[in-house]
Amino acid sequence: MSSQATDHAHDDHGHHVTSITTLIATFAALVALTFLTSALAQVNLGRADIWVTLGIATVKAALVAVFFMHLAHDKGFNAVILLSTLGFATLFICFALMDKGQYQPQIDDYNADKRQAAAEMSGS
Amino acid sequence: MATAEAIESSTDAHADDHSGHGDHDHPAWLAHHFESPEQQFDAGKLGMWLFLAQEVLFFTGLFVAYAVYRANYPEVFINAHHYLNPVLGAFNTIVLLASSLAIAWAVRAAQKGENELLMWLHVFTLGCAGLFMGVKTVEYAYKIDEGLLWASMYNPQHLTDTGLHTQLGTFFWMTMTFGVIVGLAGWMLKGGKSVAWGWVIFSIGVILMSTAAGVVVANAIQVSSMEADHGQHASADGHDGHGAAAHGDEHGSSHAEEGHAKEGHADDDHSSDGPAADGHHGSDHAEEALAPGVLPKPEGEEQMGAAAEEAEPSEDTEPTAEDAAEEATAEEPTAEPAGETEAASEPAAEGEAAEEGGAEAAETEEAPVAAKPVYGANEGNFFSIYFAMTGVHAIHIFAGMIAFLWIIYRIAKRNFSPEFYGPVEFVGLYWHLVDLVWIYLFPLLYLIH
Amino acid sequence: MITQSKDGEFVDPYGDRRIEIPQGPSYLSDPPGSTLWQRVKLWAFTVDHKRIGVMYLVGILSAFLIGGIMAGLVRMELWTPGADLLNFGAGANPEEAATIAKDKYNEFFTLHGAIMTFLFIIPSIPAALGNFFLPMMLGAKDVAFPKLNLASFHLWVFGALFFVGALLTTGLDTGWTFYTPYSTTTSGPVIAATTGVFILGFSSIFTGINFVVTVNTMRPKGMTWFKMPLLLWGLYSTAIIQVLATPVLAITVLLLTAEKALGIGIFDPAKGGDPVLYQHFFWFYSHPAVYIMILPAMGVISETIPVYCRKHIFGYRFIAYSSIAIALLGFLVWGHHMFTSSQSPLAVVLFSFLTFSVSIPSAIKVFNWLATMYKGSISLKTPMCYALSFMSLFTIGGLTGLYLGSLSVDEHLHDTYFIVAHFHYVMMGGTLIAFLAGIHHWWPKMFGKMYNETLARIACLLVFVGFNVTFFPQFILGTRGMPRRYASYEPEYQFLHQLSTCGFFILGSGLFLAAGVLLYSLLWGKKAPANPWGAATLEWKCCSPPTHHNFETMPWVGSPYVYDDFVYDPDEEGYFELLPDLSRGNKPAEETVPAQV
Repeated sequence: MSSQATDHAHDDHGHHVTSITTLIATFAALVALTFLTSALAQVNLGRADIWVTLGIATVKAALVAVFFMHLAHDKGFNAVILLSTLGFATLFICFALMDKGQYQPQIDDYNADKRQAAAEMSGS
Repeated sequence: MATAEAIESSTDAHADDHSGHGDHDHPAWLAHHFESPEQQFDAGKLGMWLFLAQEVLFFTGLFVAYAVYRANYPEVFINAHHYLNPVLGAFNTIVLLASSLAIAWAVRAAQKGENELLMWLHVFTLGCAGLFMGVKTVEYAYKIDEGLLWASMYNPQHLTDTGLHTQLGTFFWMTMTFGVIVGLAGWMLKGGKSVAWGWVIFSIGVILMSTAAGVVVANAIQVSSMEADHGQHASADGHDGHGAAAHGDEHGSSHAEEGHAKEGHADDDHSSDGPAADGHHGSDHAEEALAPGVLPKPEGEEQMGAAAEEAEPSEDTEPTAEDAAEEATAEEPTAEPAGETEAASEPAAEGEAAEEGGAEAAETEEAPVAAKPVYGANEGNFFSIYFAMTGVHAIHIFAGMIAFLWIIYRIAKRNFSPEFYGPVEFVGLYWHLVDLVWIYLFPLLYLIH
Repeated sequence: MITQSKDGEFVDPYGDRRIEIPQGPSYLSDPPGSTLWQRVKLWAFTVDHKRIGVMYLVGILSAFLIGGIMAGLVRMELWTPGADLLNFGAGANPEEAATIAKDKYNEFFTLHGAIMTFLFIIPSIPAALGNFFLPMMLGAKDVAFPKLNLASFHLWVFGALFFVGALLTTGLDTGWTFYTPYSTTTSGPVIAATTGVFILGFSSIFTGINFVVTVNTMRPKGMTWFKMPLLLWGLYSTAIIQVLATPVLAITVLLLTAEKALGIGIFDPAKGGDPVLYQHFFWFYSHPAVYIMILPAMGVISETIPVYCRKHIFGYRFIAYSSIAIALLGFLVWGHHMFTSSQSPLAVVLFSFLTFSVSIPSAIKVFNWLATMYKGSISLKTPMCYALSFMSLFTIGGLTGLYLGSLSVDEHLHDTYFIVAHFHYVMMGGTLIAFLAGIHHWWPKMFGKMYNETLARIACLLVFVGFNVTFFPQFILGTRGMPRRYASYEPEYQFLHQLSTCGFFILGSGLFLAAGVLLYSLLWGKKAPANPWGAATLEWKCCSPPTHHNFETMPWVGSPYVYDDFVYDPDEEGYFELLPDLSRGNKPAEETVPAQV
């Protein structure tokens, strides 16, 4: 709580002023994670790759949200908004992926037929 | 009467709109329908968070498209990522992170009433935004040149080099010249007639100059990575090699430019120095960065390199200029030292040289261009999504720039104080979200394998 | 109100407990001496939520008129089995004439659907009535962001212009859903329409943001969450959907535009894309959009029923929570639009199950309204008549939705007139009727004039009868296999189609009568008292029409559904409020809000 950031009527409701140390440390962590994720891209982690990558991105996103965007010291409701938004986003992605995964084999079959037909047509 | 006042305020660009309903204890910046500054601040912040929620779901559509296509055509994505340069992606990530840091810092400055710092942090952020856009310009230019476009325009070909580098050079010069002029004009204006508009115009100049800088840095990175790739697996991978091949033959003709670059650099010192009063270490720095690192390439760019590196320091406190330079150096370890001095002068001549190089490259290049499948998925799908995602993101960056210019105008107008700094924080939140989206875009697009 | 006491003296039995509502200059009045141009500017650039609400009202009703004319043309084409009307005499021979007529038919139903959905129903209650009444019901001076509110209206106008453009250039025949691949290959002005949709989407988002922020931060201290009128809960849930779902529509139409203009191929199978993905995108927004349409309507009904039954709403919290539940569940059911669109069997089953779950909160509301009416002292004023219409029509619409949610039945009924009838029962029988209920309920407050009750009730009857005659036969048509979106049909369907067309004219005459009654009242109606119905929500505690600042003195915040303190005054033909009995736990809002606004 900083006295500078308050209006006189609400001295006790002042807004949190993020310290320079926090800002710099957050930035340093973000840069480090950027290098980490770039470096990991050189290493083949197989199937885990995407999850590691996304995990690092999520950590970075969380750092930005919590410190740069002040969620750490903000009204809880704003965090609820962000989280529920992410919830809906996840829901959308999962349903679409699930459905697409289910009917994709049919499309693949169709495409294979089509390709074969095209190959026969061109005669080579 | 009240309505008449409302009208007046609605033509006024400020958020301190309908103040002045004869309300006694309302400060000028407190809108009449709010009871307390706290309420106004909370409302604004909640509104911005809801807007961000909206933004997240807007981007979600693109992420869904991405996820679905990646899940179904993993080979397309793995193949296509060879076309993207992760160094550029990482560079842009750092640039955006630095701007995010600056803007978070700006909120702190606003809370503490440090107006001067607040202003310069915003100018710095705009510089970062410009740098980001410059890098994007180079990336898009390469993609367009190579025909790596969305599905219906997907027509991969070898980098032609000629047109591309001339155009990038022209783009650099135009942007830089225009940026310097605009920046100087703004600098003078803010010292004189209109402080607020002066700052805005000066900031536009900074954006343009840093865009130009971004073009140079990105091109250097791009060329050197292609070079590196070419060296490492020249014959292994057609995709990787095809860009670099074009440059291979040019070494001879374009080494010449190094010297010229230095000269141009010296000249430029003066021209771009005006607004950047404290661009003191700019020149040393630029040389440090460029001297060992610069790869042979058509002339315009060398000059770009020099001039741009200088333009950078025009935002005084930033770490990015250094970052940029370091980045550039780091990426170009294999390049030969710049030694030759030969003053080649005309871009036209360069164009020819490059053209020849390109032509030769095309002849000698043997790696196959990715074949288009008869039906269904191809790399074009990847580039559809790539352009949709990065394009929409770039539009958001652009919108953020406009918002920052508005904030800069208001800072110069002394609108903000520790009691009232809401708009600074709200626009900052928006900028952080744009950064957040990029944090996901970078690994998803650039680091696939 | 003076009465004669036993002793023959004239006394006012309520004495000083009577709350006088201060009068002030109406929000409709402009500064004296302003020129016409100044007046126009004062309206077009106002930041007063009431004026914005009125402008929205005019705008959406114009859109409704255009959409209604389109509907009329469609219905008239269906009078005969052949496609023979909409060629307007063009075409050298019968085949050519029929082709032209069929093309025109496609255009007209497309524009009917698109205009009604995007320009009328979605903004109807939230943007027109909501803008006007949300701050007043809350006890706030304005919405949180008045200029954003104005921007939202301007965007609406701008988006509407694109639709008018699409209308004038003709050839938009994709249906309001813009399904790919047809929409990307047709030569019609799809881009104009999708640009319009994009802009309208942002109009809707801005309204949503404004409402959530207003409700969250602008409540005076006496106004707790559970003292809010249920319309506000409805609008709040709607706003959540507007903020969270509409951006997906924006990106959908943006990708569609990119697909059409640049050929990015995300939805085009020939380029490796997937048209079913488009449907996922589209319905991720457009199903929740159905709840954008119906939730505020339910809110309006929750407001009107207790007032005209003089009884506290039954199950306040259940109705409030069910609004939120519908809003959230509404996000989980979009796939039920795609049962026959080669969606995967797993998704189909999941979505079917989730669809049934939405009926629970909807049923909670209907039963609570019924329970509110039980033993109430019901007065069949016009808004109540509309509310009763709503309940029966919405129930039919909702129950037929269950048929469509069942997989096997849907296979048969999909894309038939059954579904046309179903969504008209929900959207028109639900939202439009509730909108009419709301308009009649709040008309005296909005414009300060009383309308002719008898004629308005006749109009309501015509609308109810006309609506059922129009759409009930379509259920039968659908079950018999009449597919939707065809200009011609087998002769055996003709009787039911003609019945439906007759119904359209009854419905239309009812709507015109209602409009006439209301417009007549504007000019020649009796001046309305502050509280003609004896409602307890805050918007009735200021003069009619309200002043620029809504409340000249802050009203007492009581329960929105306790009518004990409202007494009818025959002299004013309206109700007045008594000072609340503080023993009942009512608190004056004045403690926290300055009395002088």
